[in-house]
Order: sequence, then structure tokens, then C-alpha cells
Amino acid sequence: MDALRRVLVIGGASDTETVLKAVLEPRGATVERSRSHRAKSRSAAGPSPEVVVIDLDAEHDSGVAACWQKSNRVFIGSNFPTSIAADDRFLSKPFQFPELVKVIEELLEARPAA
Amino acid sequence: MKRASLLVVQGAEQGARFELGIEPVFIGRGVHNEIRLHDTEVSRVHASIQFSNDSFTLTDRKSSNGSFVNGKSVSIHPLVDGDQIQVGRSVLLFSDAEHEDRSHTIADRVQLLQRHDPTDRSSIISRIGQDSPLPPVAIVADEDAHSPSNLVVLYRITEEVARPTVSMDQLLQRILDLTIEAIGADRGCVLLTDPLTGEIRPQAISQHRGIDQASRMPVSRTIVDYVFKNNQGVRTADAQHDSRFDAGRSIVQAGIREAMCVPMQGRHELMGVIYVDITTPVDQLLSTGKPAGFREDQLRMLVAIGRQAALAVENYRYQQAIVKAERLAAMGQTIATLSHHIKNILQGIRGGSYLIDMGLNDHNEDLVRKGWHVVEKNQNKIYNLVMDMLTFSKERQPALERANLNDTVADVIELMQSRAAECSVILQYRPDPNLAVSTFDSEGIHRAVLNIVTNAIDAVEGSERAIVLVETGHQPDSDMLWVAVSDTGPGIPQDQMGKIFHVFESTKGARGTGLGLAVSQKILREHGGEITVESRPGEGSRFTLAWPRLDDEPSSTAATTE
Repeated sequence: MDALRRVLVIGGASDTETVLKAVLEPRGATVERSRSHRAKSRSAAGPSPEVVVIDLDAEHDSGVAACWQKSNRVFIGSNFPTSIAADDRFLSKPFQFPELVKVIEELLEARPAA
Repeated sequence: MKRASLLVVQGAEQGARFELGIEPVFIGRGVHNEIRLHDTEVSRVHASIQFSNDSFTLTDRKSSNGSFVNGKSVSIHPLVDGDQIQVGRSVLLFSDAEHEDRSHTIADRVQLLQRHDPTDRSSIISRIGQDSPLPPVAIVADEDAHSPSNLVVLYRITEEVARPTVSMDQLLQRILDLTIEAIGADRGCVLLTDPLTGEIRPQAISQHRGIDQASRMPVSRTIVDYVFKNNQGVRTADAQHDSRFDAGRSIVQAGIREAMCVPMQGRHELMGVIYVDITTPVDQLLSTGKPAGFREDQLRMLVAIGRQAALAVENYRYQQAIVKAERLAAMGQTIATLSHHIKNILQGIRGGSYLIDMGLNDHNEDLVRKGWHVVEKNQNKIYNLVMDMLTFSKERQPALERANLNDTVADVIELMQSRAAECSVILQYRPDPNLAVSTFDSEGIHRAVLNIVTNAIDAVEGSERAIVLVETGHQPDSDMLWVAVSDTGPGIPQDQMGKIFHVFESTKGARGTGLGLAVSQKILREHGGEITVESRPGEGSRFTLAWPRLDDEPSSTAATTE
């Protein structure tokens, strides 16, 4: 397993993590999940994951997204985020999971986290 | 079948509506009453309502604080549409459905004579505008000892206008009944302009006793048009003694001797007219000592009543417009919130289906199982959402039964253990071993506790010491049963504490419907109980569901007999 291919899912239902774990871990990535309210402290604690999937519908604290600027960010939610960088990706719910997997794999291939 | 209803307009059950039928209904604090009021001033069995001889009768059941109808203490009292029943601190508005159903037949009972109808030969003999003053009260009282003074009549009308009402028809009917009685008319009707079409429609009709209730009331279109055009109240000639009218064909044919018609002038527009007439022959009236016709001061008073009625109609329409706007806003919010939650469930189902599809293609049973687990979880979410919606949406009586609270809560714990384990949460249960069998809605309490435990697991998930503790107990001093759910989660911020029980308020974002706590609170209130919350940010929360034991016998007896 490539230790640098890390995906962190922040907020939302555990289903997203379950699906991504089942699909991406056999392909060499690690998938973890963090609740929104713990994601901030976690960002300062260790190395940044290559890809962060942020469920906007579950996130009350907009500061969470800002903590993960060093990672490639994929936002999922019902509404387009108010502040989004050019490199960030957004998938509107309800999206198809192959789409999400494809986006994450592209980001994992293209640019490692800073 | 006879139908009526009681709407709680004041008290803990405010907004609840109880249907009445031919079966007797008991009102009280006790668990076995059909209408159970959570009001400490209400006796266990306070009053009853029986249906007999085509009407409903309220009977006080020797209550401690008495029963009141429209402010008067009663022991047995026949109820009429619009009566307000006060028991303890609660006020219930009685509505006779038959009365409401009758409104559609009013149009058939009023015959609006066409313009140039040969039978419409009314003659205006007196007219007054909106600004004409009322005559001095004393003069009227001297003139006719049988009639209440103008001031008393207007006071009664004003009281009627201010009384709570469930429909505009009901309001107008009460005003019209009082008017007919006060001015000694035989018949009367209210004609309102339809705000959309501009058509004039009969809205209420009232007839004095002795008048054939099935007969149609002819209304002179000429007079109505005149009142609408000139915004003046008018009194018409005594046609039976008017030589200008042909006794065979004129309004005499309809039996009308005198009529008055006044505008219902609202703040901004003319809403309609009130039309009253006398059909009783003069000699009959004189023999009873009543005046032979309408007087000028009565016309003035009717103009004032018309103004009051118009303002009441206007206020009612404003109120309805506000209610409609709020209803639409609430409906919009409901649809948006439910759509959002259903979308998230759909997202989960798509994830599960994706895994199943992959597993089937790769002949990977493990992947299929994982996918199926996700689908199943979301299926449960839909079930819980539907059950919460059903519980919240309808006024229901708790399905009371004898059950063991420890068993009910144990079912919840068993159901939630796998979910807790999946979220790395320790779910502990400490039942009170001395808890007796008692009467409560087992299914309802199960749902209430389930929602709180679900929230607690969601709250502690991801915490270092993720523990949810569920306890049961009985408080002997207050004779209350309780279930407490404590968690070691992040706690609830102070500014959110006041909102957590509001429907569609969720601190869980996409994972919450905002229904769970509201539903739990509703179930507890159905039991006469309450949910209390203690929470400290960073330390956790404790939700306590407590309700009075509903059994009549002492707790210790229940423990030994079951």
C-alpha cells in the first residue's frame, strides 16, 4: 500500500467512507473519516492527506474547509460552496459514486499534498 | 351522522382538536378520558359531553373547580356552535360540524330578486350614511322596554366579534342571530361580495322562531344595489299598507312588510350588506305589545352593526391571509428539509448499489455484503423518517397499555447496539430493577427513546471516550417515570439549547432530519411529561424523559400484582 495515497472524509454519513474504503483501499489508498467538529484539530496534528472529501451539508463551521488548503479538496453537497479555489472539485448530491471515485483517483494521481 | 369538534384554544393542549360523535366523551386529567387535558386545575374526571335529541350537552362531573360555558358556571348545559368551555385553565371551542355543513345551503335559502322583477317593488322611505350618530341610549330604552338598549346590543356584537371563531360563516351567523333578536326582525341575511369575482353571495341567514325555516327569504335586488351604490343604510316602506303596491304581486306576496338594508363598510371597501325584514302582520305584533315596524334609531344601530360586522370580516380575511402565507412558508420549509434528507438517503443507497454492482461484476461476495449493509442502513433511515413524520403529523392519542419500561428501553438498546459498535461507541444500559409494570404508550416511548439514543450515538461518534449511558427509574416523590440518556459528546452550545426541540432544527447537518427531538417531545407531552436537557460544551449532554405514572393504583401495588 502506498502510504502517501491518503483520503480523508470529513462530515456527513458514514456511507461515503464505507464505499470509498471498499473501492479505494484495494487500489492502494487509505480512507479515514473525521467528524466536522474534530477535523480542525486533526488538521494541525499530522501530515495532510492527499485528498480531502468535505460534506458541506454536514459542516456548520465553514473554517473546516480552510484548514485543509494543503490537500486536494473535493466538496460534496446540495449547494455550490460560496468560496471555492480553482483546483477544488464539487459534486452535487445526489451524485453517482463512480464519479466521486474517478475525481479522487485523478487527484491522487495528479498532485500530492503539500 | 352528527359531527362536532372541540378545539383547545387555551391550555397545554392548545391547537389540539377532538372530534365528537354519538358516543359520550369524557374530559379530565385521568388517563382513561377520551379528552385528556394536562392541566392541574382539571379533575381526573371533570366533565362529559353526550349526544342526545340531535344536540350535544355538557355535564359537569362534580369537578373540584367547576365547568364554565361562555364564562358562566354550569352543571348541565346544551352546547351551541361557538360555545367556549372552560375547565381548569383550559378553554375549548365547541364547533358544530352540521352548522358548518349548512353554509353551502344558505345560497339556496336566500332568493335575490332580479332587477326589474315584478315582485321587487320595494320603496325606500328612509336612508342614513355611515357617519350618522347613534341615538341616545336612554331614549331608545324609554321607547321600547322589550328591546335591549343600543349600547347593550353593540356591546354584545363587539363581544361576538372578539370571540374566537373557526369560520367566517360562524362569526356572521352569531352576529346576525344577535341582530335579529335585538331589533325584533323576523328574518335576516348577510350578503357578501366575493373578493375574486365581485359577485354578491348570501353568507348567513337567520330566522326568528315561528318562521318557516325551510322557506326562502326574498331580498330586493333594487335595495341591495342602492345600498352598494350609495353606501347608505335604508328602511323600506310597509308594503302591505302601501296602496302603490298590488297586493297580489308585490313584495306583499312574499310577506314582507318592512325591511332594512345596511352597508358593511370595511376600512377600505364595501364588504357586503346586512338585510333584515319583518313579515309578522301588524295586528299580531301590536297584540304582543311589540312595535309595528322598524324605527329610525334601529336603522342607525343596524348601520353600526354593519360596520362592526364588516371590520370583523376584514380582520378574519387578514388573519386567513397571514395563516395561508405562514402555511405556505411552512410547507416550503418542510418540503425543502425532507427533500434534503431524502436526497442524503438516496446518496447512501447509490453508494450501496455501487458496491453491490461492483461485487457482482467481480464475483466479490464481500463487496456485495458491504453494499447490502449500506442499502439496509438507509432503508432503516427511510423507515424511521416515515415513522417520525407520521408521529409528528397527526393528532393522536397515546396507545396506552400495561408494559415494563425496562423491557421497552432494552429493545431500543438491542436495536442500537450494532450501530453503536459500528461507530466505536460504548452503549451501556442500567435499568432500575425495582421498576414496576405501568401504563404508557410502549411503542411511542420506544420511538422517543430511540431518537434520543440515536442522537447521542451521533454526538459521541469520533470522540476519544465515546460512551452513551441509558438509565431508567421511578421518582417516588413526584410519582414520575424517567429514562435518562447521557453521552460524552461535545455538548450543545448554549445558543442552540433553545432551538433543539424546534421541528427541522438539527445540529447534525445532513445526518439529521430535525424531526427526532420534536417527535420525542410530542410523545412525552402526550403522556403529560417533558424532556429536560443538561449539557456542558466539551463534556457531554444528558437528556431526561420524564412523565407522570398514569396508573390509578400506587406504584408498589402495581409491582406486586403484575
